[in-house]
Amino acid sequence: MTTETAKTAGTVYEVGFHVVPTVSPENLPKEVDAIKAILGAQKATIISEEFPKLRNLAYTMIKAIGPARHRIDSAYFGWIKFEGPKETVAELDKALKGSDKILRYLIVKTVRENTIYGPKILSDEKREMTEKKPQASQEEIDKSIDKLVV
Amino acid sequence: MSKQCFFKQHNIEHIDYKDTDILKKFLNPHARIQGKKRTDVSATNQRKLALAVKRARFMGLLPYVAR
Repeated sequence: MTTETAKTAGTVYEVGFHVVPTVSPENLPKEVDAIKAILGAQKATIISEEFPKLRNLAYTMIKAIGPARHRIDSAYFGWIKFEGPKETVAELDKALKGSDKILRYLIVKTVRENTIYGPKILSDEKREMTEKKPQASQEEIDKSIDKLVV
Repeated sequence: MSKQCFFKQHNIEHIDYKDTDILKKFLNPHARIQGKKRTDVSATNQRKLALAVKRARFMGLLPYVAR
């Protein structure tokens, strides 16, 4: 029993979500807090998070709010990584599905550690490229040109 | 000799759908996922990569098609 509870409590999930751009930046914390409140009510613990930032979407999405269908090209994207029982996921899913402010969301299983390596790898690659540039002196270049000419 | 898997080289065990900088490396100009012959990624990681790309597409972080 103890191992089972440890297993369920140890499951790490992550919810990624887009908040519609009609929400003003001042009201964004409210939307995030609403999600956190659901997690708190289910006794889930937040591991890490990223506050929603406005970004362009790769394609136009449609959000139906009441009778109107809105075409949306940009949205505030944020995510929260949390650990908790599996019931949390169902509750969160239900809440986000009915929300008018959430354009789209995704709940996935993940790991506790940081999983974003892109910026680090790209900067490392850039540095390597600059370090690997041939550092031939002017004399060497002149000599090689002379050889070619002769 | 074939190259080693990109994800094994960088000790990446979990391929994140939010990590679009990395995912973009494995797409062709039409935004399609490249095959494992091209990517040189191990079979396990190729499956994880495909799932991550599909999740990123759903969330609008990557396009389904590009011209």
